[in-house]
Amino acid sequence: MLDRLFLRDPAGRHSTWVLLRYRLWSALHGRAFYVAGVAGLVLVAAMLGDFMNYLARTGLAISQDQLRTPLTLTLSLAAVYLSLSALVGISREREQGTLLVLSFGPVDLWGYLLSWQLAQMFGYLVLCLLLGVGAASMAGLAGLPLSGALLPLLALSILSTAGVIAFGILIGSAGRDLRNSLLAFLGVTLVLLVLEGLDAFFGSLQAGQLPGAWLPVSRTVSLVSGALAWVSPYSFLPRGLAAIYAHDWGGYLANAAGALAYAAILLVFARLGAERRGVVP
Amino acid sequence: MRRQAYLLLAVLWFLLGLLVPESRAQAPEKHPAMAYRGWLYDGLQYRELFAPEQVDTLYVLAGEPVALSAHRTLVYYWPLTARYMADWENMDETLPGRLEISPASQEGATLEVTPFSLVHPEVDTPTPRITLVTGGEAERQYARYQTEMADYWRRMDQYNQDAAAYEEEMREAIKAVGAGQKNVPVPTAPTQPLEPQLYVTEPAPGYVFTLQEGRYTIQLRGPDGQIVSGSRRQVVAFQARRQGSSYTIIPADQWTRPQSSNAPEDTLYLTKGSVLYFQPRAVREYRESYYLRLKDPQDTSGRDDRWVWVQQELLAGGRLEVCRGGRPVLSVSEKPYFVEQLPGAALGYNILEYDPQEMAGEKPTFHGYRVAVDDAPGGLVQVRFRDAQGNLVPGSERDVRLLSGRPAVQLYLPALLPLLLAGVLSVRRRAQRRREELISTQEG
Repeated sequence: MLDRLFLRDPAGRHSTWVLLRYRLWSALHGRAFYVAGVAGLVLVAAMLGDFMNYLARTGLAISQDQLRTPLTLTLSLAAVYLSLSALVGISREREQGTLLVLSFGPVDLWGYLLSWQLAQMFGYLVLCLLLGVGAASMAGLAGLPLSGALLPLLALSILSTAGVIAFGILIGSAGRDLRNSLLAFLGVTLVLLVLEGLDAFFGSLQAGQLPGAWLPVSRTVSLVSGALAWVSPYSFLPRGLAAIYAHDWGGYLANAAGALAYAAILLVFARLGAERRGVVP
Repeated sequence: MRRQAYLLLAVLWFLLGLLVPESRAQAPEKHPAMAYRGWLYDGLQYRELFAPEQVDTLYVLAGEPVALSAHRTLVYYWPLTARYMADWENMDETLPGRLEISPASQEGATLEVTPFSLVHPEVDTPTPRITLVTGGEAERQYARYQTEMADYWRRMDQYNQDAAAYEEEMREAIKAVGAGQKNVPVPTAPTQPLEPQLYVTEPAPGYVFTLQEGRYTIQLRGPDGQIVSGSRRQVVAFQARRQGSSYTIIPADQWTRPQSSNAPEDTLYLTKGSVLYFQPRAVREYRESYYLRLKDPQDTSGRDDRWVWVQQELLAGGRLEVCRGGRPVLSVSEKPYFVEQLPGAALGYNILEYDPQEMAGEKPTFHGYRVAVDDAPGGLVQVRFRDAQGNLVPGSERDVRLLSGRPAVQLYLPALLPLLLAGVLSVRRRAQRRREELISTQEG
C-alpha cells in the first residue's frame, strides 16, 4: 500500500510521470488554457481601469493594495477552471472506457489520480506565473506600487489550489457521469461561494445599515459559512490572505499546511470514490 | 421527481415566510423590570445607555468615566427592530441604594449617588471634547452655563430692541430721502449676538466610575441591605489595540465628499493638480464586537475576529509635512476655510481662506491643512503629521502616489502574455514536428 502510495514501483512511477507529462502538454497545447489566462488578465486590467476611472473622477483614491482583489479573484477563477478540467477529463475517460486500462496496465488508481493532480498543479504554476507577471506589469503601467503581499499570495494560492483541484478530482472520480459530476461541482461551488460572498457582504455593512429583521439571516449565514469554511476548498485563500495582511505568519503557515493536508485527504476520498464507482460507467 | 419538486417549493415557501415580517398590529406586552440608564464615552462623544435585564454585559472604554443610574421601568420587546425598549413615560422609578463593583474601580468598591453633568465645550476650541464632571464641579459648570445663557438672552433682548429702533430709523431715513432731504445719515445695523457654544446638561444623580482594562461585576444594594433583583451585570472595560492618526481628506473638487484614511498601510492616490484639505484626527482600533456593544448593548452584529478604526478628536495646532526621501519639502499649518457658493442659479463654489474681517458674521466652514499637488516638487511621496510640540505623531505617515488618473489602453497589453507563450510553444512544436518528419524522410 505504502509502496503504491509513494510510487516506489519504478514501472508505476514512470507510467505516472508519462501520464502527467501527457496531460500537461495536452493542456499547454490546447486553446482553453490560454483563453483562461487571457480572460483572467483582462479581468485584472478591467478592475484596475475601473480604479483609474474613479481616480480621474474624484482626484483622490485611498487603498491599501489595489492589486489584491483582482489578483485574488483571477487566481481563484484559474483554480476553479483547472479543477473543472480535471473533473471533465476523469469523467470523460471513464465514459470512453479509457479507465479500463487501469485493470491491466502498469498504472494503478493512485498513479492515475496523482497524475491528474500533479499535471493540473503544474498547469496552475504556469498560469500563476503568467497571471502574476501580467498583473504586476499592469500595476507598473498604471503606476501602482507592488505590495509585499504579492509573493506570499502567489505562494499560498499554489497550495490552496491543490485543494480546489483535488475537489474536482474527487467529484469526477465519485460522480456517476459527466453531467451529474458537473452539476454537483457547480452546485457545491455556487453554494459555497454565494454563502462566502453573502457573509462578506453582511460583514462589510456597518452597524445600523442592516435592517433589524435581517440580523437573524446575517447571523445564520455567518454561522453556516463559518462551519462550511472547515470543509470548503475555497476558504484557504481568503483565510491565508487575511493572515498575510495581519502579518500573522504563523497563521499563514498553518493555513498553507492545512491546504496541503486538505488536498491529501480529498485525494484519499477520491480514490475510495473511484474504487466504489468502478472504471466503467 | 415531480413530488420532490413540490416538496422543494414548499420548503422554499416556508423559508420565505420566515423572512416576511408579520403585518398584524403590534401591542407589546410590558412588564416592570430593573434597568440601568447612563452615559458612556465612545471615544468621540457620550452616548446614552439603556441596559435592561436582558443585557447581561456592558462594554465600556477603559480609563473613561461612566455614569449609571438604576431605575424600575416598563420593559417590552419590539419585534420590528428586535430590541428591548422602555416605556419611561408610564413608569420611571429611580432605585435608591449603593452600586457595588468587584473588583473595585478607581472610585472604590461601593459607590454612592453623586450629581454629574456633561460639558459640551465651545466648538472653536482646538480639541473640543465632551467631559463628564461630578459633584460640586457639575453644579459650578451648570451655573456657568446658566449665567452665559441668561447673558445671551439679555443681549438678545437688547438686540431685538436695537433692531426695532434700527428699522424705525431706516424708515425715517428713507422718508427723508424721498422728501428730497440731502446728507441723511445712514443708520447702523445692530450686530446679532452669537449664541453661546458652551452647553452643560443639568446635574443628574448617578453612579460615576472609571475602570481599568478588565472584567468586572456590578450590582445594586438597596437601602434594606439586599441586592436589588435583576441589577447584576458584567462589565468589560477594553482598550484600543492600535492607535494612530487618521486623515479626513477633503478634495477641493468635491468638498462635500470627504474620504478617510485610517490605517498607516493606506496609500493615497492623487491626480496632478489635486488640491486637498487634510484634517488629522486621533484614531484608535477596537475589537468590533466590543465597540459595537459599547455603542448599543443590544447590538450583537459585531465579530470578535474583526477590528474597527474609530475616529476621535481632531489633532489641532500641529503641522502637516510633505516628505520626499524622508525629508520634508513642505510644511503646512492649519487654517480656517470658508466655502462660498457662487451667485446665480448654476451650481458652483469657491473655497476661500477664512478672513474674520471680510467675512464678519460668518463662521469658517471647516479647518484643514491645504496641500496642492503642484506645491511639492517632484510629486508627493509621503505625508506625516507633527503635533504642536513638534513630535511626529505615530501612525500618521501615508504613502502618496501621483497617477495620471486615465486608464490607458496599454493596461490591457500584458493580457496578451499567455498568447505569447502559446505562440512560442506552437513554434517549438512545429519545429519539432518538422525535425521528426525530416528524420523519418531520411530514414525512409
